[in-house]
Amino acid sequence: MINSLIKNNDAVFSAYIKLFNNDDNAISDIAQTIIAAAYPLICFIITIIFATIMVLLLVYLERRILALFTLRFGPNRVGYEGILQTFADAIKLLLKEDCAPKTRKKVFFFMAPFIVLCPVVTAFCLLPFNNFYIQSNIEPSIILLMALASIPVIGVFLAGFSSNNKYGLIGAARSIIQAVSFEIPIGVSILAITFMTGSLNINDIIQSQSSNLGLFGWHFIPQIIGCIVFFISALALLNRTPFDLSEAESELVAGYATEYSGIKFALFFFSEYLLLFLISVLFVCLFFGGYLSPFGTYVLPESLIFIEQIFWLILKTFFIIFFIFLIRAALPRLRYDRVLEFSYKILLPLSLINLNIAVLIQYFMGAK
Amino acid sequence: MKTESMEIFQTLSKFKRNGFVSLISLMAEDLSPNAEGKDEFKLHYTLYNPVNKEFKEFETTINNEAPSVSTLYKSANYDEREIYDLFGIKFKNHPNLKRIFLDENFEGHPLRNDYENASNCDFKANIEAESKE
Amino acid sequence: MKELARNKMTVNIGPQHPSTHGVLRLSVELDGEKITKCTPYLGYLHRGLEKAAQDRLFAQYLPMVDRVDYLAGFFYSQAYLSAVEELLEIEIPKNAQYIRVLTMELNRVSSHLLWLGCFLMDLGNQGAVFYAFNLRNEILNIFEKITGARMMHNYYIFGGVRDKISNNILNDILDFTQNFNQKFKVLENMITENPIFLDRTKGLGILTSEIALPYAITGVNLRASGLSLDFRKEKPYLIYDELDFTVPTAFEGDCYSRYKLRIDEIKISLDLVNQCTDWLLSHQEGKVALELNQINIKPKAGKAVSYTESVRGLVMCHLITDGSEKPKRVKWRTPSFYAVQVLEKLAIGNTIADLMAIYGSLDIVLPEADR
Repeated sequence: MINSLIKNNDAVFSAYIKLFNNDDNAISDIAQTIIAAAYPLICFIITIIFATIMVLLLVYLERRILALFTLRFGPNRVGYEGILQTFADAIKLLLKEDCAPKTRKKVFFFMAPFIVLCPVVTAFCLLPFNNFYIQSNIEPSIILLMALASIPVIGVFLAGFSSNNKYGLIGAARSIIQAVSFEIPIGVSILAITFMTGSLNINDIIQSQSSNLGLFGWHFIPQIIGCIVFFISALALLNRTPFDLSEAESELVAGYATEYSGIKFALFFFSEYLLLFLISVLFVCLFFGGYLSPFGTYVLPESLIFIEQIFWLILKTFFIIFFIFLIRAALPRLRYDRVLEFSYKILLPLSLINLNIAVLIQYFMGAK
Repeated sequence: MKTESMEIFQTLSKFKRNGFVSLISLMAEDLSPNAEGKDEFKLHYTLYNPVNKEFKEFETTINNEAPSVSTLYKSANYDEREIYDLFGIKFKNHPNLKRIFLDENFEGHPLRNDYENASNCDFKANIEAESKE
Repeated sequence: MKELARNKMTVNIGPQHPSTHGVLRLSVELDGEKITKCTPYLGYLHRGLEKAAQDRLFAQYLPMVDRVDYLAGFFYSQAYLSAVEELLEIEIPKNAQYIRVLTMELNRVSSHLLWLGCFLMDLGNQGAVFYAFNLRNEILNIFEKITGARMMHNYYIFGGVRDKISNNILNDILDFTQNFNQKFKVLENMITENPIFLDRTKGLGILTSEIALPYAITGVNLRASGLSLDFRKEKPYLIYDELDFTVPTAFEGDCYSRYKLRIDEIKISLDLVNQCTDWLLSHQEGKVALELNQINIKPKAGKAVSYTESVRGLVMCHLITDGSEKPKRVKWRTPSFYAVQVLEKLAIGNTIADLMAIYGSLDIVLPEADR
């Protein structure tokens, strides 16, 4: 049954699965065991290294870009132009005393950062960086991705609840309601995309956007409403301005993470930036062609296409992230009850309209 | 105009009825000791009529107590608390006559003429006494 | 059906705030998300300035007056000196009057810019503070050229001002006012039509004139409620009756109209600055101070009250003297003291986020309230 979930439109993962199943006894039993254990381990190490570098880079970029928008410099001393700043902050946080209130619920307090972090790191294995090496290419990869991106909400709740702190509780409750309310428009937008593509696999979705038109064949043109709805809901899921009332310092100190210090605090923010990267990559894959080149054809020769695909994906993702930072610099915060009103009264109907448009497009263009 | 303390409320009600709806300033001045050696304070009320754009100043002399006008003019609530805090004048029927600037346990009223000489105004001695308990 | 008993939660806001509000402690009782009671606690910045006057010579008290409200120091100096000069029965020369008005209006602009940055930061826009402070920095640089200090200038003296303003500085001021609109537009465009900002401020914290007058609210807070009361026109002092300006008024009384009025006030103040600068450029030969011995000030015994339209409202300095060289009683009637009281009333029924927006829009500055 599990084999039916495996997709084989890429090179590395399909090869691994073939060796893992070993149906035609091509390799010995020992080799099969070694490969079965080594491949996940290698993927894990690559993911961890990549995630850590990405978070350090994103935190630095956010501080620098936000500063440049607000007529300041941002960190520019530690390392060349401040590149090592996040590294220094991480070291500081790791060396801090881990003081926690005596009246906390110990088990939940300890578990919460890990519940927030682990699903997000796991979700990295589903991202298609190029057409040849996707760490885990399963059929319903987009559903699994959204599910993994929703688990951190439980961690947030546990964090606020176990802190035994008024502000933490209010912050946690707000975060959860916001996250749950905005899951629906995001889900419906993704549903519309899957209608247009006919598949739940992210790699398939990207391949369905490839055409001679290049840029104009991507999904953001026929699904422009879905694109906007997804983007706004993503900002709300990530608790970013203008939806960051649960972290507003002028009212609630630090929201759900008020009582955390040291490594655990670092883990919360590690996972927040990872989720930012994750959702940006997902957004690009769904609507902007993922790793596809905007010219339609690739510039580099045949054997080096996989490098170019990674380049395009990273470039587009950083454009989106840059835009998210710009929004943070420019907009004030939305009031909390207006946030929920906005989600249910505006985004949800829009996403449903978008779904209808997708179905109609499929009908008139012939179903795939 | 100078009137005795109990007629203050009636006079200000009359002013309010005539259109002076805003008490923009309430000041106290310490004139003690007076001729008989007792405490004497003077209250200065400044009223404003927004319709005629007219100001009126009203002064009155009191001993240690005065009626509160906070039911007529809401701004008098904080003004009278400040005067109680700094001068020790008690306002009758004030909804919340507590100190406003100084600490609740502060003893003495700083702007009184007899403040510096009073021996019961040693705040430092109070802190030491409390910390020994 | 019996009403379910709801537990009310008491939350403490302050006295330290993350956004430059001043040290005010608010003890807020919440029923769910709505505030049922809000109790302010003043006194964290009480410096005993009224008692300090009683032990000091008039000239010794003068530098302390700049610090009653350190964001609007010129206005308090003017209030104090106006009362003393009334008892001394002197009138300061025309040049000094124009210089005082010029510096006061520039101070009004710089204080409103600070208010704007902090108000927007409260609402969540963390970038706007820097744009507003950049503009304010230029004004503080001008003050440094004129008086030697960026804040707490100690520039006004009994009988006038310390020194005349040279033509170079006057031309710098004209450059500043001419370039201001273009730079301010960057900030204004980001905010005034922004739907999120409008949503958070329109219809919020409505202060009607029926509430405002018994609470003795003056200044922009009152003008936003429909009453056009400006003490520069009501009881003109210095040369305000010779200058040409209008007093903007709004009628809704919500946070948005207070914001709009302060933006309009910035523009009107800059126009006043232009008028004063033009006059001073053509009348440089006048005296800027009377020949008075600054230490040996002995006004006649009596009482004087001065009315000054400061940044946040009406500032009155009551001065009672007994003919000696020290004042007998100085009382400051400051606008923020009453604004705190009205905050207590406006908070009820709103959420905490709205409370911060209302608190910001009333422009409460604690050194003024506590003295």
